[in-house]
Amino acid sequence: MNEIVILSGKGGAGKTTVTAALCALAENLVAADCDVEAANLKFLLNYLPEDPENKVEEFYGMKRAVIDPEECTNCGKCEEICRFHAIEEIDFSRKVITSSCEGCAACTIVCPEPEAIKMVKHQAGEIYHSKTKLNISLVHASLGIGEENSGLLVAEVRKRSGELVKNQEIDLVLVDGPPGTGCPAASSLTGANFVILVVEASVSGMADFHRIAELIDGFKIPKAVIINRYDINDEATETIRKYCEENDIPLLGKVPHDITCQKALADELPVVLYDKEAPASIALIESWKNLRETLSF
Amino acid sequence: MIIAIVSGKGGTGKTAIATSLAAILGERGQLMDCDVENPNSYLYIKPKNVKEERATIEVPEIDLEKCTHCGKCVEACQYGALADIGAEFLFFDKLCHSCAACWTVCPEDAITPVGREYGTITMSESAYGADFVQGKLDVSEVLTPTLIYQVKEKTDKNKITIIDGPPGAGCPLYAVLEDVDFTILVTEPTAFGYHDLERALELVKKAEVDAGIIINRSTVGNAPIKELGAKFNVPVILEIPYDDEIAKNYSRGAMLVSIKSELKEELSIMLEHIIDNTLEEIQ
Repeated sequence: MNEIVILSGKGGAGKTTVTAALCALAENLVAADCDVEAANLKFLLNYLPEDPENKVEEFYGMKRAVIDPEECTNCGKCEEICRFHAIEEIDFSRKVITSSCEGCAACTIVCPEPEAIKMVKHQAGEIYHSKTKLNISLVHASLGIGEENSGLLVAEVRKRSGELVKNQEIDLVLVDGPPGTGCPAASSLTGANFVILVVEASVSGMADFHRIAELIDGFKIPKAVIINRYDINDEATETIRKYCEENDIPLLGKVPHDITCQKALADELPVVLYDKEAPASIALIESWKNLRETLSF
Repeated sequence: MIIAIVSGKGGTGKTAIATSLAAILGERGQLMDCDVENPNSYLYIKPKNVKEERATIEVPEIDLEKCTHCGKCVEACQYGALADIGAEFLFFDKLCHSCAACWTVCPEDAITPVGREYGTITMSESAYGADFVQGKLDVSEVLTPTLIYQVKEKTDKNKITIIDGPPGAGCPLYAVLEDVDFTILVTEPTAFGYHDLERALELVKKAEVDAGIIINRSTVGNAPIKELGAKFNVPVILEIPYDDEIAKNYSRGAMLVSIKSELKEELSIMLEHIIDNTLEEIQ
């Protein structure tokens, strides 16, 4: 079984466009969208939000502190201990700003009133199994607005896609990863056996590529590169190509800047299905072939 | 005054706008890169006279002479960062949120908070006159909002601070929006841009911050951004059409305002209206 995560560090580098194209080219796979703060893969896989077989689950993150204003004497000890700017004074009582609370419960230790602060279960998002018109099972999620626990939710999405794989004897999971190098990105890597890095041919694309590559190396997961919008900056493309060559990182393909990608998005289709002759599609089909050769599947 | 540049979706042009506004402000301005997982403003703003300091968080150090193995610290830790295996304590530093619960609950005073480095804060001048502050999380560290709060402590109240924010609509963005006077949401008119903007708008509403939308690459799609903004009472304050020349030069590290002079003019007017709180005049 291959669990392949598509990452970039930088946002907007083309992760979802690449993931959707690979989903369309692969057979017998589960797709997982681990960008839980901005889950967009569903649009390109043409998901069916009303399908009766879809499943929705509530996601509970860490418990959150809740202060009972009747019991609170407004002594302020909780606000003093809280490291997360999550407690403020409103109307002669301390109140928890739920979005900022990280569930550490330090406030419950210092509060002199035994009943004033309770740690309460808190729904931080939703997890979905959805059918798509492309007949791919998609696991995706939505983190509540401004919520913590994106790393935990990413882990839950991965867990659900793992369960689907077991039940359906599937041999490939394609994971659309989150941007950045923090909690959600690290969480998307746990359990993966291969990473595709989508690198934008630009100074910022390269800077972010080096940071995410360092994170992946820490996990000791092999990786390959797809350069996106390579023709916007030929020097950057050449620098990335050389770096890959010197460090034995397979370069799967170079995708040109191609307005067809935007047209395909407007039609909610992976670009390789929208127009398989388009320059971006040709490059992505080539990348897919190279990926299969690299991983021999 | 603090103006945050955010987007929801990554790669829509936050850094391009933030660095340009800082350059327009010159010595009146301070640019603060709070996209601490991937700070990129430095590539464009060209910092000089850079001073670096390591950012630290407090983590527990356990004195085994004093410890009676009562188990209260292990029980108090909600993140599973402490384990007592008898002869020694295991401390998983990456799981620790520096919440102070363990040393607060310890009845023997056996736990002392000590500093652990997890990122770098740099302060510098820039080639464009504006001061520049940057937070950069060490790779494999995960306390993104904590570092954002530490970077924001460097806010210079005598200047107009422009924050280059993180993508998404989770806790890092919430940390940025605290104490901000105005938020500029940079988006593109695609289905992705629309969807992610909607989430960012919900968060801006929750944080009760005044906001305006810049539609970047406004010619690449037809998503009804104006209508979406109207639902949240947030106006579109600028549209920047897609331009190959901008894309090519920006990808090489050129400042947006250096690539197109008319764009500098439009951004300057927009910025002055934000500062003077007279945005309705340009609608």
